[in-house]
Amino acid sequence: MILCPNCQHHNPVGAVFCIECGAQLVNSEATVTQTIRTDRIRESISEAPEVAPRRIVTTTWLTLHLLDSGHLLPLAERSEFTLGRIAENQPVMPDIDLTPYQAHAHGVSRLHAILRRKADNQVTIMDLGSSNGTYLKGQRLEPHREYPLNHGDIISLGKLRIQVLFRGG
Amino acid sequence: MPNYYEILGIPRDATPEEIRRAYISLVRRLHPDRNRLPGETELFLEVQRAYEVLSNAERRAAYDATLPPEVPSSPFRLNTFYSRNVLLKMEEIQLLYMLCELEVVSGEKRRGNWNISLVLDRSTSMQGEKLETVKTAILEWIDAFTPEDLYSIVTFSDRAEVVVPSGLQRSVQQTRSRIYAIHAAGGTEIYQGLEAAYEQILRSYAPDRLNHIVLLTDGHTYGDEQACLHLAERAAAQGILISAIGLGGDWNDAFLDRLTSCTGGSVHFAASAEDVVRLLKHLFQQLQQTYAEDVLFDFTLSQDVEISYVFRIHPETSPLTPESPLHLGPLLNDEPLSWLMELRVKPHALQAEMVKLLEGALRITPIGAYTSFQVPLRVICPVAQEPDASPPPANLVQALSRLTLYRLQEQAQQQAQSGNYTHATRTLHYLASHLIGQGERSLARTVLLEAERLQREGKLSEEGKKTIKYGTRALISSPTKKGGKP
Repeated sequence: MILCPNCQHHNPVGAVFCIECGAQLVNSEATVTQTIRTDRIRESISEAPEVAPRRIVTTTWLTLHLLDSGHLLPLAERSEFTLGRIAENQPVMPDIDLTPYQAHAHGVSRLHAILRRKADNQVTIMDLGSSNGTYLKGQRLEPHREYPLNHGDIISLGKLRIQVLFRGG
Repeated sequence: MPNYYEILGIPRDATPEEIRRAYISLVRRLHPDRNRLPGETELFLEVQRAYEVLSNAERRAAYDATLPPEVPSSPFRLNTFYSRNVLLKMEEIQLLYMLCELEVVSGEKRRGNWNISLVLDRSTSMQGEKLETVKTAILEWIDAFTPEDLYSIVTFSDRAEVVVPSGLQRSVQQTRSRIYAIHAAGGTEIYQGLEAAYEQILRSYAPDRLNHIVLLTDGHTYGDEQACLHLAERAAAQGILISAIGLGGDWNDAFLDRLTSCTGGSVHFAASAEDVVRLLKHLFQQLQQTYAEDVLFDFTLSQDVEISYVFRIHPETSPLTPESPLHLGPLLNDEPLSWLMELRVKPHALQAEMVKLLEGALRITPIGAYTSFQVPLRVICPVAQEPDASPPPANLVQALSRLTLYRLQEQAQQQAQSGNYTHATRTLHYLASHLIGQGERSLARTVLLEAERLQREGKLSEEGKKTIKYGTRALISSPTKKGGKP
């Protein structure tokens, strides 16, 4: 038997994907999802800010200001980021892992919300059906609906409060 | 001694007709009155001699006896991929996945003549815009047929009518006006329609034609499912394929899957009547590309081995009935036919160091040919004490990962049906997060909406069920979506 690390289901030997939750059980040459490591992003601003500050400023379109810890996470290059936390061996990984900021204790779901930049540079947030909800200015957002964000807005994923700062912050 | 077959440029199993044609075309070019190049007259004499021998059955048999046994060069390539290289010596059931890809690598392309019957549901629910759109689609469809193609059109409600009988259609105008005159009324009894279509197919039946029934329905049939399945089995044995198009949300997909898959055909989901236009075009292209109508896989399993799941990945994704002969469906000229099998191996099977799990052969009959090719397929696997660490091939994992989504959906529907809503909801949530991960946001949204509905109303919507089922099915053969994860 193989125990699925994601849902604890018992699968027969030789199973490649869990028949209960669909998590991949066997490593393969093909990676199905990719994750951006936030620890590296953090390093780039807190530990070595002078290495390439200009480049960061020009490509960053949004900075997440984690109000509880004071950390800043600049988002760059892509126009979509999913927020959540990585639990061991989960099938779908969020782009931004909030685990280092006590995400679990604050009630952040594994795939919690998504931030998007539209063609007209408008920034939106959408809750992905999280257990504890996403809040904007104290209002709970309807899941799977996009809400526009403004510079300086404060969103909460569960109880994790984040201020969104446009551009490089 | 010269090889007469090579001189005429024909295969060893050429029919007398093929020999005659080859001879005539060569003679036209090589005749001493017409030829231009030096040496062609000598060639002409050799062609004469070859034809004298091969055109006579007795002389041909005597000549064949002098030839060395033929080493057949197969026009096919069969690639197989396994999820693991060894089986483990252990007291548990274990799984082995196998991906097979069959393609035509040489030989001429085929475009056989067709013998098609279109069966149209004209029950009351088809009334109005829906039926009009479908009629237009059918008219467009038959316009694209060549004059050599035979077709018939049957409509049914509680009974069947032959609108256009099988045969060479001479009066286009008459055919068109008959199709225009189809009106909607009555119930849905699929067997009536199928039986009439089957009769029409038999009227023009020839084993070297592409014999195909296309069923278009938007409703449930009641009570005659068994009769339909029996008919499908009879059709399958004669090499007649059944494909189906289900329109809207209210038709029995599980039944149509069984009906078509036992013949090698497949089911297509049309969300709207406009979709029918696209699907009929798609079917038409597939027919045009068909090299062999139904590839059969005859196999015997070793004791304590079973096939628990067979799924065709390409060209049409569809679950298949895992019985021998397995109807794998059409092989196209330019595209591989690929399918995935899940083998369950019981501990008893592992008595030797090398175990044979399965032995069989693919039977491929090209359209227009009377003889078929055999491609052997056998699965032999070493048994070891230690697992093999090498990862499974990427294409197999890719196919399995998509198939896993389809199976999650299948599972959720079963759980919902047996009243296990909590479990079904959880499965749907798993499915949705996988879909989001693969960039399939709109399908994921449908899944989540259905999960909510299940909580609220205690059932899934028919429309939603089909969108999810055929949506995840379509993913299996599609390339990874761009704009999802980078």
